[in-house]
Amino acid sequence: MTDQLEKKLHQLKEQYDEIPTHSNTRSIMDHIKKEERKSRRFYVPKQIQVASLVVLMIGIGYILGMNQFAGDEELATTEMAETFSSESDTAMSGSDGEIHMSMAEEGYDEAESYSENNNEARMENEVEVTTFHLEGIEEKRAFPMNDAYFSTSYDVNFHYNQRSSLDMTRHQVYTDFIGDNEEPVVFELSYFHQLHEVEHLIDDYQNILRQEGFLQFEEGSYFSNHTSLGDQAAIVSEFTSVSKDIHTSVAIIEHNERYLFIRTSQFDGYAEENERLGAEIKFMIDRLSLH
Amino acid sequence: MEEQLLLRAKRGDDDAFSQLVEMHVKTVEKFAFQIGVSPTHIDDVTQEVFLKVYRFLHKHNRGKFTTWLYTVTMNVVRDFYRKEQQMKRKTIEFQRFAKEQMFIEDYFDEESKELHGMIQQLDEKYRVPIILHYFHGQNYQEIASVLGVTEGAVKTRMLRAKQKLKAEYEKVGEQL
Repeated sequence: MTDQLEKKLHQLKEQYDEIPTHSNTRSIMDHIKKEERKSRRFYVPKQIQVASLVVLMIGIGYILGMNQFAGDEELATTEMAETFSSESDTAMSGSDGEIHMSMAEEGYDEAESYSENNNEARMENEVEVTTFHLEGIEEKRAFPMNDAYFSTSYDVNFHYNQRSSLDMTRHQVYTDFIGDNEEPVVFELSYFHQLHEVEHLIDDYQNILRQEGFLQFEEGSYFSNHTSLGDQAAIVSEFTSVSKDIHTSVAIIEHNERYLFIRTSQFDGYAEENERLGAEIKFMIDRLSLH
Repeated sequence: MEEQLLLRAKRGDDDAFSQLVEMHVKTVEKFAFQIGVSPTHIDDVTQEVFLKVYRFLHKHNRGKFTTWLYTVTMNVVRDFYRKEQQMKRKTIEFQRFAKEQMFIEDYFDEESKELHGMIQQLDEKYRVPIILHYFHGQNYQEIASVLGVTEGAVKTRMLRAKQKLKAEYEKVGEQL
């Protein structure tokens, strides 16, 4: 005899099935296109070649400062895209912070590279990096090597993506070595718009990673071992996680009474995955622009 | 058919993705409503689900697509209501309640309305297995995949969920 409850459940199912669809495919697709247009404002050209040491500097200062004006992400994206794409004048050029997110090539041996440089005025702890812009413009810039940075190993083709929701903003740099594939994230800086206890924010962030396929959350020390953040930010916690063959490391840093999540990922056995991987990248965190 | 569409969509074919949306939009809407999304928010949640699917489709390479779709929907719904809780406003809550009541009146008879209400009152850990099994035809193994728990845990939750529903019927004087 069929369970009475099951009968009721089957009856309810029939009525659920009768409910007409509300959404329409076209509006869903339009929404996707709109969101994708917003988030894919920039792609680094693929012709930039691998160097032994690649310095990717990210003017994290502006991003760090930007959390003070939550909701102003559109402006930030615009500015970042413009910084990448050209040296053209921009309405944002007068703002306090600048976003520098450029790639530069250096010799393997940094010390050697210093000695070969003719710029005598440069401090010993600075490195001169050549930055490339989309339109083929190159410029050289001295950068303090001892300031905030972390390093990781990766390819040099990247694209930048900003993802914003009501809850949080995520600035992401992806490898771009297999077309549009957004996997894995090389660098991410995220922050939640609401202030909460750090444990609560970590739970939320881990839930987001879970949704993206990450499992096995464990304590980590990647950033503690590979990062210098100067005295304006401190690592309060770290963890690692795994998704298939990708290992990701996350550090939570405290800056201006905010918690920021920085993340980098690496393939497990990356050298076998792609011969172009293996270049060292330094994410320079421009301390001068921290505010 | 679906496999072909998935392959094409992963290669960036938006027409194929659009066909996938067409095939699954009802499932997503239905599941979202069943796990507690207000009719007022179904459109927003559904759009967000497919946006996430679009962005992460290339990562989906094992398991059934629908199983993954349920997981994405659950996560989007959790995220959505976490945000909503942060911005809760009584007037909006009231309007939402009124709209939900109208929606339920439109589609359910008294008996189904009662059971729908009881299911909504269950904890998520009991509610979701019941919904996936009875309304979406998912077997215990598939439910275990969606929830990231063991098949044994799903069986236990199903049993407990049914006991809880029967207890609710008893409270209103109906012995099942």
